[in-house]
Amino acid sequence: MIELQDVSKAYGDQVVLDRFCHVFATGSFTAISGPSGIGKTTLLQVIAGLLPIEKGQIVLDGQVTNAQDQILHPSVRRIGFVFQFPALWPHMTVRQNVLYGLMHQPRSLQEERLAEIITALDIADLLDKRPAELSGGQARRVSLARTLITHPRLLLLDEPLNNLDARLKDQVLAIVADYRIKQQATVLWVTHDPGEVSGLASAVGQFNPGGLV
Amino acid sequence: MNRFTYAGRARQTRSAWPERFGHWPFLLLIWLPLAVLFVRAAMGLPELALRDGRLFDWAREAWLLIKTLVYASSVAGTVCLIGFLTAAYVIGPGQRQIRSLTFLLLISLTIPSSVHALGWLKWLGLIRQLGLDGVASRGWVVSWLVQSMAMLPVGLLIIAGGVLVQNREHFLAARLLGPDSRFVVKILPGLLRPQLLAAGAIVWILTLNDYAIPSIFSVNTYAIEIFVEYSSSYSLARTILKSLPLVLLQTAVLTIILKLVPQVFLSGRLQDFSSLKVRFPRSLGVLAGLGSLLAVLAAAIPLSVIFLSKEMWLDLGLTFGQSVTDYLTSLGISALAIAIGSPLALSMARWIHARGVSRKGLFLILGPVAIPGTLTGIALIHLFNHPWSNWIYNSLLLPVLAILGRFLPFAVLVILAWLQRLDRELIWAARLLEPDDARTTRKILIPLLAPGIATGATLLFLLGLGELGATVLTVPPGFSTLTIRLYNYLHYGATDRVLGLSFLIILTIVLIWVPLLFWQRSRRS
Repeated sequence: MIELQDVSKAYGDQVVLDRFCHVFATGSFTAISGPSGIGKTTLLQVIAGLLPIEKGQIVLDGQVTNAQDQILHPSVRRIGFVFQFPALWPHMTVRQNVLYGLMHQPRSLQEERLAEIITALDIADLLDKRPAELSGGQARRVSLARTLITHPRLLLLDEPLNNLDARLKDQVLAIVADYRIKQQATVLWVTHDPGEVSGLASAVGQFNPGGLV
Repeated sequence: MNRFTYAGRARQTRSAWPERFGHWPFLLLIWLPLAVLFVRAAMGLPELALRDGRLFDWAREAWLLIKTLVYASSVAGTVCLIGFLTAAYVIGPGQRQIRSLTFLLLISLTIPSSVHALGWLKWLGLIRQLGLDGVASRGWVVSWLVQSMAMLPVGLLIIAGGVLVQNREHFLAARLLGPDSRFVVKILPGLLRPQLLAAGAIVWILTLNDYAIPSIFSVNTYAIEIFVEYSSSYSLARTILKSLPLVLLQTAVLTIILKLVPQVFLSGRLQDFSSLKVRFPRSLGVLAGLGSLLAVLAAAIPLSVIFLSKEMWLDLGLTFGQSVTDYLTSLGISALAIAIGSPLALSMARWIHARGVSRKGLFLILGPVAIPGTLTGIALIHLFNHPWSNWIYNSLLLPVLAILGRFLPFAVLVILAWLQRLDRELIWAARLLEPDDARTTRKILIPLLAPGIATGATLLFLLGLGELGATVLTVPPGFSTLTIRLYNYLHYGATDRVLGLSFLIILTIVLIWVPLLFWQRSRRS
């Protein structure tokens, strides 16, 4: 469960989150919509711990993530984040990109998870390539693989279907739906068009600075 | 069901160390000597006032300052004008030629200004031999010409860089709405205003602090006056007092242009304008062609005088043989400056980046640029000339610190520019997967920033190789650098040796630049 309690965040004079309150139940799939620039992406980024908040509290499964000027490191929140663009590290191969989050785990677990994810996402042929050699759709699938291989309990997706063709959109939707069921994960999906996840979302919220409506 | 957990690694953390404390090494290394210098000078002022009835001939100093300011302003104006005309060619008919000129300009950027002067002296002498006796070999006018040509690569690279990072749509929209001539005259200068102002201000500051070219053409400028003051009186208070008007003026200009820095250096990505062939009206085409010709001359004249000198080639072996120690000393000092400076520059850039680029942050980086090299050298001498710090004072660490004091700000700016252009999602993706920030720095941040770090380090190395103002004061007894030897040869009129050493410097520059450019190109591809 994710609880946002009176969370405030501003960029200079522009208040983006103003005493934002909301509770996302475990295993829920929430689509968040709203106009561009209103703060949907910022909401995901503060939940992930990528941006600090000025006031309030974020609680993940009972654990306070920000207390007394200290924030829980993003990597220990067990959150997966799919950015608007794939954000693959260009100096690493696909294999190195995908396995980065499992670096501290035993080799056997790495291999097991890798085999699992490359089958699910059909990226087995790409493992030794560099990101520059991938097409847009391939890069998006590799990015998803890097996110899902660590089995995050919370999946944050920031307009993940942008610039994808219809076939790829269906593919990404199917992967996320499958992952959510298998891992009982909570999903927050930011989109301009709630219709694109209408079959999956358990709730659709319109963003405003004080909470979801 | 998850088979692994993060238990035991679930730690509370703040942001990475360099993002919180990365500014301290920079402040201690760069600002502390300057702060100590000004405090000690201020403490010495009352005694100075009691001892000397009349400190300086203020009317003479003021007149010299005005002349120097006019001189620097006219150089800056000339560079901006020629720079704009040439840079306009980047999107015009001569874009291929301008691109091939870039490498030549990069090389001429690092040629010591004294060699520029020597090249022009030689060519002006040839023109006089053709019967044009009116061409002067000394004085303000010829010094202005040579200084402008020596500074042209700096200005041109900034302005042309400004053209290349413009939004393509700006150009396309303007071309849809009117003829190309109107675009070049009405739109382009407005789009390039930040770059023109920044180039003008940087050239202005560099000219005010350079005394190599004016001294060769028997012109007395305020920067020479400061050097002479310290060399003759060894009085810290007198030197600082005399340099104060110059430092204050430069600081004021620097503060004003700081708000342009993010626009000029920290934003935008290189665009490909090869398909955009803007047609210039004939008159403008002629002017742009003339500007380009001057840019070619600025690079070609110092190079030609080096490569066409028969005596230089004959004496080359001897010149090299006599300079090996100085050459190795110069390389060692510059290499050490890189080793110490690169991590500091990265830390400082990360600290600024984490807080968001602000005027205050930029002033912390670039403020020392307003301090003449002579004062940087004096500051280090006064900070380290104590029994407890003799191991620094009597070693080559002192000139290393002098080079860092003068040029580390540029390395920080280069790395900051790369950091600002880096997609933050690339770092965030790593932070979501890896709790150890040091590892994220090592595995993700440094490889992504490698071209920027390498460019900053190379800049530090090359500028350090040609530094004179501060190193001449800080090199310990028994040592000399290539630039000091070059300046000595120049002083004694040993022209062929000067050209030989210049050739050595250019060779070093090429050997460093070429692999760097190829490496960057291979990374881009």
